Amino acid sequence: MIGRRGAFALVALLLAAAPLVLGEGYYLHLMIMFAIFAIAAASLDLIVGVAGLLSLGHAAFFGLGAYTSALLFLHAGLPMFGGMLAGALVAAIAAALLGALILKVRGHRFVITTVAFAEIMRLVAYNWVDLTRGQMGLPGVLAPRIPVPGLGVIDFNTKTAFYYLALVVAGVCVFALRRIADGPAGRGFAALRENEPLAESVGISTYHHAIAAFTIGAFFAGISGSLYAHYISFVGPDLFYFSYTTLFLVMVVIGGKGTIWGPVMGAFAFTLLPELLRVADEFRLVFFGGLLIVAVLFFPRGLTAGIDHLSRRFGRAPDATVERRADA
Amino acid sequence: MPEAGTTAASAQGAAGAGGAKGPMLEVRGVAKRFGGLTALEGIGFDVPEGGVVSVIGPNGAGKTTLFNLITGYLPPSEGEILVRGGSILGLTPSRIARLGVVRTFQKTEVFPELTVGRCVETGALCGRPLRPVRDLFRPAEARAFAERARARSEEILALVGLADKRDSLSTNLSYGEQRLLEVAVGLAAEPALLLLDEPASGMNAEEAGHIMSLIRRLAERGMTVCLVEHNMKVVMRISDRVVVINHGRVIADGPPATVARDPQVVAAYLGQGWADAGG
Repeated sequence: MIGRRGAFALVALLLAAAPLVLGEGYYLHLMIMFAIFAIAAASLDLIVGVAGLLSLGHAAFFGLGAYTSALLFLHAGLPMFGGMLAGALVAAIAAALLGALILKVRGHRFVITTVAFAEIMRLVAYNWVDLTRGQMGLPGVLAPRIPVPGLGVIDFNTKTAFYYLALVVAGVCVFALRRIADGPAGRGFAALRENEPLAESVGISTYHHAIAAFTIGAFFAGISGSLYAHYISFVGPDLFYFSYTTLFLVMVVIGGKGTIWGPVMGAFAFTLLPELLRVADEFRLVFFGGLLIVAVLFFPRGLTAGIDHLSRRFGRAPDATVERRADA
Repeated sequence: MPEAGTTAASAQGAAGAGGAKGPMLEVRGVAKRFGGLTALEGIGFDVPEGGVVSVIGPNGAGKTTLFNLITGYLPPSEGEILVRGGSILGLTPSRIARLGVVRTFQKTEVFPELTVGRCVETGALCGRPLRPVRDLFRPAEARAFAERARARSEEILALVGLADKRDSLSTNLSYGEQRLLEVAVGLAAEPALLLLDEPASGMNAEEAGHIMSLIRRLAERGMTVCLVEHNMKVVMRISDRVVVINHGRVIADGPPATVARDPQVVAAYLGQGWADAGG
């Protein structure tokens, strides 16, 4: 057994070495998408998995981050890191305002409103042509060029450079989300998820905790969206599509709700799996759906719980099991 | 029970003297109607600081509704409720809890997917401001809080007798143990006034005896306890004062020995058998 710390170091090493193995090709592109989606999935997990609020509008905050960042870059020349912060703040403020309105009463009304909010955002992006160019979208959102003392200016326009950038940003975001989930606020979020009347009875304001979880989740979704915009260099109204929300949600559920790390693994599986299944051609969607059903049936608490379970059963190190599943 | 009687008398004397902040709890002319149904009407009583006050009455008398009004889970249709002289009308249950008024539920409530220890530590969040960003950048502060919460939870679990269940999942406890856990979660919030809704219901005789002595110990530590209970043995033995509600109205209010002899109470609730037995 190699322990948690060892497993973490090994994964970090593998991730750092990925460009050496994968080169500048399509697979490195997938790894970058993994890093970007990992932030989105982990941030949704804080809302859905930790606080138990079924938000079906996460794409709204992902898209808001992307658009804010793109517009500030194109019109004000704000480079990526500034745009990232601005995008995260715009997403967080939108979530806080929306949350203050709709989180007094949680449950189905909240769920439906989050779907509607993302759709409204899509319609705004589609129709406010003067600002967003509508369907044509906003091209030319460039990756940053950062002057580093001693090294000159690093252009993150290459996949390898952007990969390391995305990896570091994702690492920081996931670490922060995990710390929030483990901290006093996260305990309050868990109380909200577990039993609202009981949480209220011991002084935990469910309303304020719900707003906080929703806002923090949106903040990190905004970062994810901003990274996406600067990597793909194009944003369009499609970013607000419900399919992004479902993708993030599947990553959360399959990865393991409420663990933050689980959805990161979910993001890995669901960014790469569709590509690995490409060999099956048109059957791949069938395989994909089948795998989803199998995963939900046999690992109802997600990959993380499933791996823990399997490693205990076969007495294997957790990482060995990850390899086995990835091969399967 | 002369001892209990004098405690109640002296406590009431203190309330009568009128501290600047007023009694722990004042319920004044409170009514609650659900549509055309009147659950409570003209309810008024005080709970002074310290001691054990029981609210009794037949099923459907409105006891749990009264608790829901005091803790903000339902708004009263009429009347006023004051905690230490300040009105709590319109406040959320969590605000009221942070004022020191914490309740347990008739139907046992726990945090199902958390361990016993973590449930109690969650109760210790009461009164701590929600500040995730500050905690993110000052992990030492957050860790120190977690340490304190853990220490407090260990103390409380030892007090209620669940110390050996610390790492069990809360839903794996027996029913009686879950009731005790719920009290422990409430205690972690450091209440000044603890409202217990039928704490001994569903408990065996041993567990009921245990919770009785626990309530007495809490009162000795200076906590004010208000309970709704059907087990008359429990009520008569541990209460300093008993408030009897029938059909949504207060029909008697006084020391247990006096209340038990009140003809109205005997007729409405206790029954002639109890009075004859000299309860």
